[in-house]
Amino acid sequence: MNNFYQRRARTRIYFLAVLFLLWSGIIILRLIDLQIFKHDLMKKRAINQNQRIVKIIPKRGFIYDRKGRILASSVLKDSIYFIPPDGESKARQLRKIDMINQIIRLSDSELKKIRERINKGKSFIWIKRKVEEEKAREVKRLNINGVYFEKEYRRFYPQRNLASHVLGGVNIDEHGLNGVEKQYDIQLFGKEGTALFLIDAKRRRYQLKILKKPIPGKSIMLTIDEIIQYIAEKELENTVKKFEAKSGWLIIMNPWTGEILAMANYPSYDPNSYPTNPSLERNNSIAYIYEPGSTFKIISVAAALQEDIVNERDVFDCENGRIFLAGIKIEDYKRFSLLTLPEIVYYSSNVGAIKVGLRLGKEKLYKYLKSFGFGERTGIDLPGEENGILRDIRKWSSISVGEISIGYEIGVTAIQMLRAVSAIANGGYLVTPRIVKKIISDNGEESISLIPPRKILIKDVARKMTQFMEGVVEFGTGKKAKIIGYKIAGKTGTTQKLNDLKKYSSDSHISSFVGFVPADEPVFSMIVVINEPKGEYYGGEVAAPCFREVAKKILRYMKIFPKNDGRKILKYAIKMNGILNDET
Amino acid sequence: MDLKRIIDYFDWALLGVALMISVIGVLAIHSSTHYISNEFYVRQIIWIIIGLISLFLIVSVDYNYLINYSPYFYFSMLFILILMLLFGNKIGGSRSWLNLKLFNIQPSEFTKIAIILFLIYILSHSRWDYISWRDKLMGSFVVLTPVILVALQPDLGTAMTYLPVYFGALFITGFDRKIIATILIVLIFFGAISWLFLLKDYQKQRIIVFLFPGKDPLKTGYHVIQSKIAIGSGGFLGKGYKKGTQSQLRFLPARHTDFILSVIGEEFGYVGIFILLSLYFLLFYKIFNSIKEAKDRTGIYLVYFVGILLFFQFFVNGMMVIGFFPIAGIPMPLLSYGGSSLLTTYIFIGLIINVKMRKFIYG
Repeated sequence: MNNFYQRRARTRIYFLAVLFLLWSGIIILRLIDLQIFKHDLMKKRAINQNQRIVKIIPKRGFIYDRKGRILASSVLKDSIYFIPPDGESKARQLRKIDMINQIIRLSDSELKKIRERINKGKSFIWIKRKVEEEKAREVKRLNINGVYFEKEYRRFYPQRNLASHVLGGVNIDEHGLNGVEKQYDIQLFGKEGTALFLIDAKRRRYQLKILKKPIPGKSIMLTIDEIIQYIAEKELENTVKKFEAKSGWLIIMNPWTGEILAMANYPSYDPNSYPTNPSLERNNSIAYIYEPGSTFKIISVAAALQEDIVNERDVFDCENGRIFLAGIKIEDYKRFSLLTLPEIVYYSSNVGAIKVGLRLGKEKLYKYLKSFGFGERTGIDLPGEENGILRDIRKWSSISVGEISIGYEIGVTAIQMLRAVSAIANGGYLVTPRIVKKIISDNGEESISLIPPRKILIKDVARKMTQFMEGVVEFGTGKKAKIIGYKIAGKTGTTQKLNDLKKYSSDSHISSFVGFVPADEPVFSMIVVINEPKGEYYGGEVAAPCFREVAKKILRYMKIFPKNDGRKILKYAIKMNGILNDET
Repeated sequence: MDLKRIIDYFDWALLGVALMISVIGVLAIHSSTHYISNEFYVRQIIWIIIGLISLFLIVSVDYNYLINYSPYFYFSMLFILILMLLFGNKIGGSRSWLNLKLFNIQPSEFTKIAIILFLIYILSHSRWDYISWRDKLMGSFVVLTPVILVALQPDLGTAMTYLPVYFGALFITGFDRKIIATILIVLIFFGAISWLFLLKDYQKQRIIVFLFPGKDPLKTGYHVIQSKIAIGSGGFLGKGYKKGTQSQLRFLPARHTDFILSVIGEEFGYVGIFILLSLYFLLFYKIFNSIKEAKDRTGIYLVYFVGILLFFQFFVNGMMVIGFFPIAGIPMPLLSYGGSSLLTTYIFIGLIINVKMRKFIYG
């Protein structure tokens, strides 16, 4: 009996063992399915999970001024991120963030975003990218579990606000968004590289290999001179502040080549913390369209001279300072009676200029506006330049010729105006303004090819216009631009701004001054535009003194001394005292 | 104790296979934890040594002697389990660990030994030709009491491993249809009760995920998906030792414990896992084959119950790793990291060797 039961039990056990073996077959078959048939699929899923091709942002090219001084550089900074350790409470994680915040001072919105990600239980959280070195070091010293660092290039502008509108700024991915940074982004940025990274379940990255090496960006040398730029900005700021103006801009150019030596806008911004405020970032020098007013008389008079319709001996009846254009009264600031052509320019008579314009006529005036390049971009290598507004001749009204002759009914940018005046300075050539001198790479330098200037005025007209403009500064409306010992050519402009109702307002003005120095051998041309000064608003009172202060300092910086006596005095002073003091 | 007998009848081959599996386990544990700490594989080696010492101690005492004393062992274990439920501290969400200062042990593992020995004690006291209803009922109490105590910890995975022993006992004592039906009813009733009262949400979730896979790939199903990716991406030959991306980069959860098989599948491929599974088949073949060498009913029961219990663990863990069974928290015997499980398994193997060694001794 016993043996029978034991045998029966054994049979059953063997039956069971065979059953077990068959069951195990399931595992074996499934493994074949997974490891052989589904291998490719699973491998792909594994790679999807654990490999990332990460872009390597190359080192961005530097930006130098024309003398090789660094205006923008690229430096390695630490970016801080947080991977919450396993099983750590959210409260503890938030405390860690608070500790770091004590050092790096995050903004409220940044802090909110981090807290949100922690509360959502995210496994990878950027705390702050591209942090200041010492701050990063302090955070490192805390040695917080779960806090990691990664090196990234960050744009650095050592001169902070200097030339901010020219330089522009870059975003967190090192791409230019404004100014030269945007215009020359392709060259400055270089070529992105790629690297293969292994990523673990907590999103920690381990670099495996570099697939494509990044190519660093090329550097750029600007036509800007840092010192001139600094002088321009300082004086512009003083003027804007003094007259409590809304804003102001100022451009200094080499009239022969179109190289921009300085381009200042106030208020400016710090490109290190780009982007800031979109309204601050607009480069008014090339983007603000305004009615040029009296500075435009240069254009209408030059046109009339070139067409030989008037000459400098012509006398115009200025009708006691008022004229009616199709019933609309236009007045002078003073009751002029008879003025010669130069005097119209010196004293900026509206009536006289209108009469010159009327004598020139619609077609001819339009032709010159076109040839001076109004109504279209100058082609300066900066983004955001405006066309200005020059209405088609067919749309001109009966008063348009008169209005345009004195700088109304036409919208210009400061750069257009400066270029037009530079044509007078250089003997009649319309140049293309440039901001970049050359592009520098490891393989050498590449100069930016200049667009050949266009001849628009005959030399004689340019010479005469220069004399007229010298008169403006010598004894006309621009006396405050005078610098003793130098010949200065210039023209004032004062415009009433259009208010919201499209009416000219009597309390908001644009004061401007445009000219070149020295008048007979110009080294630079300059335009100053002050937007909505308070109290004083005449160009001769607001913009001209600014022009003078800037010009004076630049002349000293450029070592251009008063003609004839200047150099002698200097030499004498050195010989006598051995001292070269600041006021020579 | 006859030294010659030990050398003659000691099943060195069985121990050898078990040790080989353990050594593979140590290698896999090292591979999956070396970047965290070296502590894990060193501990595992120490536990293997403790397991071997225990095995030789177990071998030196006649198993019938052990069975005779099993009631004391069994009730002490129940007492410990009750005390743990009352006073234990939760570690990782359950009261399954007993802190012994130097290390933690899991009494629910050692309970397996107590259950098997005590069940044999009860069954072997009935008459030779059949197991009475009374014994069957008692047997069910012997098994179900610790099942409930451990399930309350809550450690359902370990509790589940006790049940096959009882079913194995019923199976061997006859296909009584009435009993099978009764058991099914009890099971369904117990299942319903446990779904409603015993199962924790995460356990229900596991079962739901198992029944409807792909429903939440990043939550509970994450484990299974990661395990499948690890094994599948290993391919035929594997990625190489310590080169399994999924385990090295920590995508694979519970790498050194429940999912150690996936690590081997990834790093040694189909070939490696096949060799390992072959070792397991050899192990089970040798265990079940030992039954014919058992001299008495207690011996048969002992080998058989141990075989069933180990096979169940092996099978559930294997099915779990390939996504055919819900995540039960059952370690792979001999392979997974964990001292209590390892020691228990070595004691079991010791018991089997014990039975084989005493095959010719009657009385």
